[in-house]
Amino acid sequence: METQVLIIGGGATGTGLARDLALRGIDCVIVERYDLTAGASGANHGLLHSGARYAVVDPSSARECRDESRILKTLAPHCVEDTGGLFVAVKGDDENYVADFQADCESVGIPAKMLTPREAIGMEPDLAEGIIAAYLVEDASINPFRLCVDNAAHAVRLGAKLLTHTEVVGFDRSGDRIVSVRLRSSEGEELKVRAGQVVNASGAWVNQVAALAGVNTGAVLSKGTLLVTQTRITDRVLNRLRPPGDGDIIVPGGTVSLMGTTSRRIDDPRDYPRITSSEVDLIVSEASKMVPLVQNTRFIRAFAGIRSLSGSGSAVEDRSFSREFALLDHEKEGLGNLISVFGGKLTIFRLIAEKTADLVCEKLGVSSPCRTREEPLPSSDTGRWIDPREERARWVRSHGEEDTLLCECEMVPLSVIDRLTSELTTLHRHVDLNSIALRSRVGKGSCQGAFCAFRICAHLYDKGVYTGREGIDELKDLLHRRWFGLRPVLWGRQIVQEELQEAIHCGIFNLDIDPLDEGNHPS
Amino acid sequence: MKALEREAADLLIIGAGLTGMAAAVFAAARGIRTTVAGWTRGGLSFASGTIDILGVYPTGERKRWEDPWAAISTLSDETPDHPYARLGADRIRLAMDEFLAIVAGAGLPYRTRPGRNVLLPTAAGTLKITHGVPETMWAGVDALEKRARTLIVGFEGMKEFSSTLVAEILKARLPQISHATVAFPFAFMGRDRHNLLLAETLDSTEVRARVADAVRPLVRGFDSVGFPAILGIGNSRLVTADLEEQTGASIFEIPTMPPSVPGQRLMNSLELVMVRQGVDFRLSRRALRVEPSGDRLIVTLAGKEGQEEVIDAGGVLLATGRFLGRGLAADSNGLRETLFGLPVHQPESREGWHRELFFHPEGHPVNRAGLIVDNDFRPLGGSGECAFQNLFAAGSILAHQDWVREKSGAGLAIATAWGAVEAFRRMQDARSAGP
Repeated sequence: METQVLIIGGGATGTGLARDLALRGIDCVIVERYDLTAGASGANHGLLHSGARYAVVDPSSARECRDESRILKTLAPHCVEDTGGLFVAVKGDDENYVADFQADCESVGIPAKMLTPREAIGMEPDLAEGIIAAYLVEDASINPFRLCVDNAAHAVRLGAKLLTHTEVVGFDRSGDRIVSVRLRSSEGEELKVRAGQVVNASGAWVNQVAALAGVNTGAVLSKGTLLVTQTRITDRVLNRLRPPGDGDIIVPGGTVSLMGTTSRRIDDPRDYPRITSSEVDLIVSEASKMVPLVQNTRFIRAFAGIRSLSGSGSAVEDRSFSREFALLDHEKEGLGNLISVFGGKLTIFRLIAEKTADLVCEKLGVSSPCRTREEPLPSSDTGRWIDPREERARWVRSHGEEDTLLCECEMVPLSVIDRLTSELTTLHRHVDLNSIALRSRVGKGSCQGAFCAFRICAHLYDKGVYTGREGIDELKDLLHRRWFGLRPVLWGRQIVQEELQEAIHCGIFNLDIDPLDEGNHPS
Repeated sequence: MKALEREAADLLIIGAGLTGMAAAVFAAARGIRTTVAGWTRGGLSFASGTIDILGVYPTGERKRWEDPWAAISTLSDETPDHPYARLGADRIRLAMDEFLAIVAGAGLPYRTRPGRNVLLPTAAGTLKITHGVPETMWAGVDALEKRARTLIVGFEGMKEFSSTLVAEILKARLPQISHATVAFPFAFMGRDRHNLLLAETLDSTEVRARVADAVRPLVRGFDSVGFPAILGIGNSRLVTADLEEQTGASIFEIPTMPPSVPGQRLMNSLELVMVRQGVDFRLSRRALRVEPSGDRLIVTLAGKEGQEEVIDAGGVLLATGRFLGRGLAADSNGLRETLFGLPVHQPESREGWHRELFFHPEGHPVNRAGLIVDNDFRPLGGSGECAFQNLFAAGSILAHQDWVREKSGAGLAIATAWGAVEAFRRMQDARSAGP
């Protein structure tokens, strides 16, 4: 295989870059070790920043957010719920910060309308009685899964190639150039791609990938934990009006709310970073200062994303590292056609992609302007069931009699599972429960996939997609992965749900002692 | 305001799951005037309907036992805090024998291989280790042991049963296994097939005949045929025997995802026994509060419409289960017992409740949390002495057991129910014997 640009990483940066390059007529291949949004792009707040959060501490970041959020609202409205946002301060919060806020927002052109506490509570009835200040801003909620899937789909439509479940295992160098990149698929197939330029957009894994090429990025990793509620608790984004800290933000995400986050330095990227009960308690405690009912709300899961941060030196507090992104041309280290790009925020992914694409074009000797400031992002077929507000309504009205719901919590019908399965088989040559879950809302509801995963597994056996033990092993794997998100929030009603899950999986099905070895069973 | 009339009972059992119902039938058989009050029917709906006694010990080693009684003896020696250890293998055997005789008498016989655990196939294609197996599942045990030529048959529209899945996974065990799917010969609306509905439909001779007709041509060449466990609800033995006769093959049921039809059958049989024995069985009741009164306990119950009832009981058996049953509740700080506020043995902090691996062989420490009882199954209070002379506890609310990992669910429920009822009877005898 040969391409002009090989992009390593299927997150917002990688998929955004592929689309940008494809729109410029440049041939590219995305290589992704798992599936799209496997890293921080699939484990964030889903917040489209108006920029107000950075107006006081980081004005240039604030301006970028302002511009980019407006672009995305215009060009990708199907990925965005324009909820608006509030900044609220409670007693004890830094009064200087409160005092400077509006002026600082205005000086970077970010609207921030002062409200009385009464007005704010009128808009969000569950706000704490004792809030001392409130401002209305243009924050919004964005669906990162749909965003990435749609970016990738558009890129592919324009000629890009997407290889998921394919890992980079090495680089073949000749002098100061990478000649080809060695890949291995999850099925063990080996492949070489010859590429003119290589872009390392692998997020938390930037250092690992760079090391394979013999270079360094100096990226530092920071884990951020978030909690997901069972029901949506605010209409708008809710921010704490104080210098950015832990547990500051509650973001609506469709029918749920996401609250967090934290910032803990970690050394190595792990697929499922450990979430501690002290982080969870901290988030609950801080969020409940804005919305007291958080203390008693049911959480359906927690998750943690790993951000890679740029900046050097030994800053103690991760928040003092720039959320500004890093765009490193490894030419300086003697490798002429490798670029690493990491850091930044989801809100400015398009800008990061643009700047990266500009550099790539420069190195390719191609002059082609960026089109992503003007081109609307098409809503892909694949992406339609990720946030299926209209789709669900349409299904209820007009589904075939034979079509049944495989996931009742989130209303995902069999017909959608079949369509996704066929797409995944054709486009990715790889179907698994996780990939189906990514492209639908399977597993996002309160049972967190416990029932629907089994049903889908059964259906995939019926369809001949699974043979032998594949499906059951994948089901166990799904239960295992799901556990990382459940474990940190198991109390109240959620622990009741989990008792039921264990009764079924271990009690009825004995999955915990499966398979039974020949030599080690009673009969 | 008129005071509520107090209704008297010798023993009030709070909790209408397997533990509560087993205790009720044991108590009634001993002439104890018994009232059962529970909110739901407990966990049988989410179980397989088999009688697990002890399959795995120690759970950390995933060691499976051929002989559950030997397993219990070892467990009792090594972990004297385990509820089983308070009884010992001999008394647990008495309890199980009595229970199985009772349900057989109500038309639901279980088969066992004496002194042995057996394996049977599940709807996940896995093998489940158990001891007491409903008659209607026994041919599955046989098929595994004999490596019989087996056909798995599923019904269209059953979202959680795929005969393909079962056959694909079991083929490692049963080389000559195949699968088929037939339409359910009954006109339902839409595509969904609910387990309990299907089972009821199969109680009909007419429907059964049609199923047999559909299956008969597929059965040629096979010794055993496995169906999802929906073969009737009123008389599953009759349904299974009828299908065997009409198809000429050995028929067995395979435990499914909830709702569990075999679990429902067990509930129905126990309810039948309770009715016959004159047990006062009240569902949709919550216990609001309990007050001691001399050597009795006065319990106020509330029904669905909020109506209150007051039971004046000689003794109370707490069979309220764990989180599902609401016997225990967890907030982010700790666990509590919901009716009396009894001390709950538990890990020091929430961080220690669950391990990082879902299927960790040692299970999750919070599952071993619960009430500590003395040898008379009376829960201890704050001082380390029993909280009340006439308060007993049984079932999954007890500490130091992990029925889900040990594969001891039904055994725990039945044996501790028996132990608590026996202890209550000793107390009753001692009281009537006078000071």
